[in-house]
Amino acid sequence: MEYLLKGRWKIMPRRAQTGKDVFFYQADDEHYIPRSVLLDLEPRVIHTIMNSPYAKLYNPENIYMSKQGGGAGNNWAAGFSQGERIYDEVFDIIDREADGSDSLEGFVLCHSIAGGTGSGLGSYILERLNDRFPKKLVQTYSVFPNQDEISDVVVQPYNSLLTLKRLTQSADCVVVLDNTALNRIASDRLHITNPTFSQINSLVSNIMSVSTATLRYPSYMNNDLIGLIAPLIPTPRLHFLMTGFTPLTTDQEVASVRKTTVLDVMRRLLQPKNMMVSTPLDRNTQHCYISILNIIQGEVDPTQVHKSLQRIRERKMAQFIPWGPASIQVALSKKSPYIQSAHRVSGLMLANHTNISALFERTLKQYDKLRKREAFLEQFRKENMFAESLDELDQSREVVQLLVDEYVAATNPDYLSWGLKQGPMET
Amino acid sequence: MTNSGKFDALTKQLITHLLGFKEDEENFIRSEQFVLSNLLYHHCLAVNSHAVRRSIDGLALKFTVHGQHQRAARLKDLTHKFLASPIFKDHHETDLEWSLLSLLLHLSNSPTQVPLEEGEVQLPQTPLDEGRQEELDWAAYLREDDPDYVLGPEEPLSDWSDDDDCEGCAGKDPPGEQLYTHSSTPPSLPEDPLTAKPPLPGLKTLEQLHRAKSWLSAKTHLQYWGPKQPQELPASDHPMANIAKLCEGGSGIHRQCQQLSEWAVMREVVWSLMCPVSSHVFVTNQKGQFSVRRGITLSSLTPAASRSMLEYVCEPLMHLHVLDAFMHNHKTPRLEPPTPFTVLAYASGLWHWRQAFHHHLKGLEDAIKDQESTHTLLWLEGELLPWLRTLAVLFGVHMKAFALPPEASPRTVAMRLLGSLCESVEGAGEAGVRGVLLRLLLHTLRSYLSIMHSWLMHGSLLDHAQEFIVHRDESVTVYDERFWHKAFILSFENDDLNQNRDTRNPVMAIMKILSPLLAILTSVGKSQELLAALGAPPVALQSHLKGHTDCSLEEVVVRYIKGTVCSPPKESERELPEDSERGQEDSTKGKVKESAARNSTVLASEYGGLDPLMWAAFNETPQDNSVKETQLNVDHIASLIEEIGDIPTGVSVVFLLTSALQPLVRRRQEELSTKLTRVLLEEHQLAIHCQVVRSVLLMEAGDVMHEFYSHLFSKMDAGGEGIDSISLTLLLQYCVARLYPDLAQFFSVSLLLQRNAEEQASDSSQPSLVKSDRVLPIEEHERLGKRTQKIHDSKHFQKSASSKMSLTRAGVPELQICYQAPWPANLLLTEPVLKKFNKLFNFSLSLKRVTNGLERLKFKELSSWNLILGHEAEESSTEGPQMPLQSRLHRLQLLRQWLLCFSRELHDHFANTAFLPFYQAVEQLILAAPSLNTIITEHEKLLNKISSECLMGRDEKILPLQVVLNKVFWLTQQLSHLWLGDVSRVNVEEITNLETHYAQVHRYLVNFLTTLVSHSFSPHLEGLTRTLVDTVPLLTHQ
Repeated sequence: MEYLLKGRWKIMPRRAQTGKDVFFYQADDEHYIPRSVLLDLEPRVIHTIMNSPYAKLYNPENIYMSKQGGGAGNNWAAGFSQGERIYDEVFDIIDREADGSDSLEGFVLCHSIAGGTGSGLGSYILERLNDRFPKKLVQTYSVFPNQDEISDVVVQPYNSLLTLKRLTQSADCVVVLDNTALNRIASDRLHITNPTFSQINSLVSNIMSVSTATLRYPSYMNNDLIGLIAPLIPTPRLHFLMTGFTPLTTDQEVASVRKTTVLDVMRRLLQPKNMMVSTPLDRNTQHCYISILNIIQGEVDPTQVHKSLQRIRERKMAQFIPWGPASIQVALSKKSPYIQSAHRVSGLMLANHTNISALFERTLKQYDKLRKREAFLEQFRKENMFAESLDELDQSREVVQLLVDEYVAATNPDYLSWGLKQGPMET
Repeated sequence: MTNSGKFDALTKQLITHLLGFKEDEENFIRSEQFVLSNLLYHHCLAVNSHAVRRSIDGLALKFTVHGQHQRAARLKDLTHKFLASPIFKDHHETDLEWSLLSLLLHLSNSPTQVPLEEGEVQLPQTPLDEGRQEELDWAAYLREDDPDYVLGPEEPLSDWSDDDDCEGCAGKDPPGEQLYTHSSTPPSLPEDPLTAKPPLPGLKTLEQLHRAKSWLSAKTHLQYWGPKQPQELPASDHPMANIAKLCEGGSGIHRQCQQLSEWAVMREVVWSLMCPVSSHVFVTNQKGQFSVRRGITLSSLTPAASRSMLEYVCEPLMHLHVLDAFMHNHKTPRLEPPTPFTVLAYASGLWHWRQAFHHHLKGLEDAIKDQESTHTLLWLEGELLPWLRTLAVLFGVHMKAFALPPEASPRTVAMRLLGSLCESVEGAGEAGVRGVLLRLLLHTLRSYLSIMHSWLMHGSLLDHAQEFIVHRDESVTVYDERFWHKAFILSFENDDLNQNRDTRNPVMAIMKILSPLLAILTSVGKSQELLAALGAPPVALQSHLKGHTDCSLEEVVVRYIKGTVCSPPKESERELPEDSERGQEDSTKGKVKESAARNSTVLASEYGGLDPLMWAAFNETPQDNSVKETQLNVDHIASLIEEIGDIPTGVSVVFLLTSALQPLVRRRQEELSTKLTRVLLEEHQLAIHCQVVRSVLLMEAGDVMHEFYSHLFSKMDAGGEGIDSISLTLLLQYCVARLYPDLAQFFSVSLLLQRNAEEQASDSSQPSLVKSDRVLPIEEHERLGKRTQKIHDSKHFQKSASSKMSLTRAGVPELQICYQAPWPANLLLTEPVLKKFNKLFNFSLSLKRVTNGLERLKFKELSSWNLILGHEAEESSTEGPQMPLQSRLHRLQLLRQWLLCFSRELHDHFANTAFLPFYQAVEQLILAAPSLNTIITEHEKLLNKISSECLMGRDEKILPLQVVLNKVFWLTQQLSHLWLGDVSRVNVEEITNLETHYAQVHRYLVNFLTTLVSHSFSPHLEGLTRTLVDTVPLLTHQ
């Protein structure tokens, strides 16, 4: 599990950009150190990093590997309970970093929800961060498991469900990175037959870098995290965001350069195939966008933006919720001058779409299947948390079900009076 | 005239010796007149030997033709002998023999008609004797007087008349009234033997008498002025002869008339024109007007006719008199008050014309004096007429130009002078007159041109006489931020004179030439002064014309005009006389372009490789030399000006001058402005200052400003304590220092303190009333709503009222951020500019206030209610009509979302369509690096544009958008009050009320924008309007 921020702009000469302080601070020799903490319960991944060219980038004090080194064994409960044990050491590091920040606004957590460390330790950290810094934002980049492959982690539904509960309750914003969609994009859109981790990672890092671009290149708007996500999230639970990026290229594919315009980019962003979340077509419910934020980078004429928006509105390319303000927000951002891009304009969409509930429903369905047979629960029972009862699992299911319900309810025009019909919410 | 006495004595001696007349005899007087006339007005000193020889040969030929071969042979023989005489050989006076011969020829009268018989006998002897006699007599005589009496043709005769004219007296007696045979005995002057002889019998007939009489009168030049009063002819010995004289004397008019010869009058006219003072013929009165003297007539005309014939000279004489007096007055410049150099230059221009006129007159005088061809008064008039016409025009211009009150400033005088000249050149129809006027204009312009030259070249506006149209306001230093706008003042005084009269202001004419130049000129001047102040090395003045690197502006202009006027128009005129104007204009345009292009290439090659410092070093040293050179050049330029010929009517002088000056000045401006912009941008970081101001005041540096305003807002929400100018300044400087460590110090924040409690009270209630009456039906609801909300409201307002700062209705303190831009940058970032920026700052601050306030309402703050919620659910299932708490929370959340989206929509809209384009435009502007002038004006234009786009409306009081923002802020306050307060006590009505308010605000804005968009072209608002129309809230809750 990593508490890592991955951007591509870190080796920059001094004074080049103004917003680098957001994620970096300067060491005495004026090289930049990311404000990141790397955590894992087993050493493999971190060792890979430490053997890579980026090894010297990180503050070695911020790298924490469990002393046992055994990992969580793909068990949420194991990760969670190990988290309790290493709490002091981990939060020493986090407190130090937080104190070193001038104006701490929030935390960004990158993890997966299916494994043991990412889900279990991640959930633990998430809860503790919320307790310890109640006024700070917590944004997560959560990797959802690939549904196309038969996972080697059989307890994946349990892990996911338990993590989803924490994501729903303790995170302020979750950027969903669906491995299913990422793999499909890599193979279908980028024509990579067997996408490697690094290829997928580059997709992810791209999204992360663009979604923080407005923070790092300060301009008239979206200069803080809350400003970025607040208009996207109408109610506390509907904070799962999908992403889409265009134009998608890998290094191999530089040859095919398309002409990009603002309208072009915005239109592409609305196509499901560019979304980084795999959502099945649900004919029963009329899924729609709750909110959209497009971050457009490149040489953009501001007048083009409104023309494009108007065109999209006229053609009704985006279906919006019937009960709320249905508008696409556009943030124009600078591009890193250090990254050469063949395209003039590129865009990232952060969207809150009711469709994302399908992802949770899928987890719920799989969980129900496993739970019915009481399969693989003995591993969980080994931990204190589940030793006595499996209430935690049931509660999590309830929370996730409520989330799905709220997403479905948000598709209806009478969402405003939603609270009337529902029973009181439970914690 | 010391010699005149001697002359008189000798004359008398000669007459008594030769003719034997008594001194008081009438014949004696006539003889004396004749002798003096020949003495004083002789033609024999500067003698042309060839002409004399030709005359004698001609005479001999004539004798031969008339069959008097002997005579002819004799004449030749005698002449030959005379010329061969040894006396003349070593004589110190050359050509003496010819002089004598020419005198003899002059005295002779129709030699062929002299009776043969008597002469035949006498002749062989007489010429010899006569020759000897004459020679002895005259040679000695002439030798004696020569040194004193050099009346060469070069010596202007006006000197004489100058001395004597005041006496203005002349002989009244017409010459040759009575016939006297002896005087008219022509070829041989009477000699000793002849004196005793009786009068020649050939003169008995009346015709002969008349001829002799007229010959005498033609050959006698009377001195009609001078101290010597012409004697009345004494009464004749014969009583009968006196009758006519007495009769004439009694008849009065005739008596008073002095008959002058035409020749004399012609010379008088010429002299008078040379020196217009009272003379024998023309007299002045007190007013300076000239008139023909009464009692003067020509022998061939009646007094009235001759008067009318001469009157045409009177007016020009008066004009000349005025002009000469003017020139005399302005020969030396006055010091206190200083005479405008323009006027001096004008005087010298006039002088040049006067010289030319003088020269012409001198030519005329020579022609008249030589008497080699027939000259009449009519001929003289014809010769003079073009000059007199020009004179009349000049005088008209002069009078117009100087028709000013005496207290008029030098500037007015100069401008008016130039204007009148320019106008008259354009108005004049005659090519010659136009030429004269153009030359005069050029002369007059020289002072302006030299001012411009030194201004362009050295950057100093040297205008001692304060005559230049532009003057430097000394109170504005180069370090002043108003420097660019206020340093140079275009003084264009509308003199009262012209306002009162309804005439066209002549100044307008010169303004046609100057006005396009002035903007450039001032910008050049300012650039140079700035550059000097910035310590930049001087920009080398590059040559205006190829090959004339050290030309002054005057010379270049004059050369250009000369080149344009003198050579090409002739061809085009010949080819297409009707299209001449077009053709010339085209050709001049073409020439201008061509020469400009040529120059620039020459310059590029010449100066391209030069090190500017080295150039400057070289440029500095020969400063003194250049002064001398210019001194030398003065006459050279004047002569250049004089070489300009006539200007055809087709050529527009305004255009000519403009096209001569403009490219030069413009090129200089380009050089300088490029340099200035480069210096400002590169060395003084104009762009950075601009960026800093934008970063802060337009919140371009989002992160830094976010820190500033979120700190400010949180302090305000905490009760507004500790907010004052100093702490805010420190805060801002601290924030900015992270971005621009060097420039943060220039920022300061001033906070408008609460003026007066009452005033504020009226502020908060009064305007809303006014507004509601006028435009906003929504305000009514607002007010109603406010009343119902008063209880909840009061808490917040009390807070703000207790604090000292005055809050706007948008909940923003009235901040003024001041950026004390260091010197060169403050030319661009002046106080008015910053004021505009501040308005925009307050606008975006109020936007930020709303969005920031909404964003800070976090869900986590509501989550604590979930606990209570649980209890509630367990405990009280009997809530009755009250909506469940959970639903209320939900609605609050959604209301927040609506408001947030609404305010973000506004915020993002202005960021995207106003602030960002402004940023891009300014960056582009600075990247293009145009002249400072352009930067300043364009920057201001862009700023105005963004202001009108954001604030929508010029009216300070009612800005609909501000109304909306105020309202949204109020809603935000209400919402946060509910959000952070006791949610369980919130009843549904309150929420519904807020929702309705929001819906009203939204609709109000939609209405306003729709009207605006449909009424006026405002593309930047269309997107916003559409979005807002599409997102009209459906918060109507049952």
